[in-house]
Amino acid sequence: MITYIENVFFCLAAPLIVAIFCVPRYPRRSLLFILSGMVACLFSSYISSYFARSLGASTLEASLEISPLVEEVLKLVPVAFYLMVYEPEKNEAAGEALMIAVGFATLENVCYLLTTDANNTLRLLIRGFSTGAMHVACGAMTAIVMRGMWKTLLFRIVATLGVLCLAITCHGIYNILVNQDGVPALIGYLLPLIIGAGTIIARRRIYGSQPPERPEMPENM
Amino acid sequence: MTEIIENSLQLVLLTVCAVMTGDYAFRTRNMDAGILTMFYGSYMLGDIYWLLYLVFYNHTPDIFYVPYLSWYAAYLFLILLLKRITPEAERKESCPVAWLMPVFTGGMCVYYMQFGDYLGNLISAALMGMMMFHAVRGLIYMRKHAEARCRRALYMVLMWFCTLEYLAWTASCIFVGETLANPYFWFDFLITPCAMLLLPAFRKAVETE
Repeated sequence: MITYIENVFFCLAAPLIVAIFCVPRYPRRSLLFILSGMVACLFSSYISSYFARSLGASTLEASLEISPLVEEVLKLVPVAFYLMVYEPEKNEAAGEALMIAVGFATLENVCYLLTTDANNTLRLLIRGFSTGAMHVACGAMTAIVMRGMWKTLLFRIVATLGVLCLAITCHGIYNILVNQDGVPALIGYLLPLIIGAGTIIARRRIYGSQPPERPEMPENM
Repeated sequence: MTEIIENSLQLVLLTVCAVMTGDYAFRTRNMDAGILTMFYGSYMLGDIYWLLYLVFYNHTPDIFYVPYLSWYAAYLFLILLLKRITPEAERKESCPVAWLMPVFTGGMCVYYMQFGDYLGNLISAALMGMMMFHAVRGLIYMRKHAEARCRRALYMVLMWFCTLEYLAWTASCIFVGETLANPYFWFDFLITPCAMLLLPAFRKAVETE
């Protein structure tokens, strides 16, 4: 079944684009990041399909080896841009990276719904809390490690490349597990929640439990 | 089966190291220990992916080498750690012998390219070259400066780690087989204790300083 992902994207992105012009600065930035997550999802769909076809990969091989790489790289681009250009506070960066992951997971889940039945609540709940949460967990992990190591140029390069590789591998491990049956699949579904919990604990240990203050929006954004 | 057992053992031991180093990093709020934790964590993740692929599909990944990315990340974190713990004077020390290391890794890279892909081998050669350069320069530097001897164990372990990696890669090019008769498994098995020794060597280097 063909999914016209660009049509789905336009449909979902249109209200966001309108809202971006209507809301004040702080929510506008979050909306922009959700939108950029959707754009990342759109492009990753095209690029993954291109690589799969050019390398002669099967659907399974593409899911295990190509998609994690392409998706995590494209999700990182807006976060890296934000960190490099706006140099936000530690706590903010993690929040905005989550918005990108939310946008990505939303478009991906809608496309998934279009190709399968929407009448199985349990399966969709599992899908929502696993695949969707996987993007969010990887996004949070990326942002926290990157921001924590965003010091000198060497640190920045190592943090960006290192954490990207980690996110790709985590995503790949998740894809391997959920493609199995029984206990391995169950472990796979629980993996994002484990990564998420680990990320929250690490974040509290590194940055403390103080909630982030609402930051001022840069004038030029 | 041999590879699965060997990788499982490596995974368990590196997980223990990652937990111990992570605990040490949180207790002491030491950034360097945090970087070493990232090294263990990255290596461990690569092992998990590799092992799962082997268990479920009976062969190793052959399109995009996802676990290699994790191992490259581990090397990157190790290089960062070396950069951080090396004092300015040691970094400025001119050491022509150390430049033989990148030459060696470059030569090996050309050899491995006959068996594998170009990009992956180039990345490995660059990262290994940097690590071995640092280690050899440090070892030569401490012969003249007694105060730098606290890092001797770390550099020695690192050199062993890199040497074993090269022996394992070379063996995998020459020997084929799934049994213990294949020397690849011996060297790959020895990498695990060597990686584990990085933790006490690091602690010695940091705490003596």
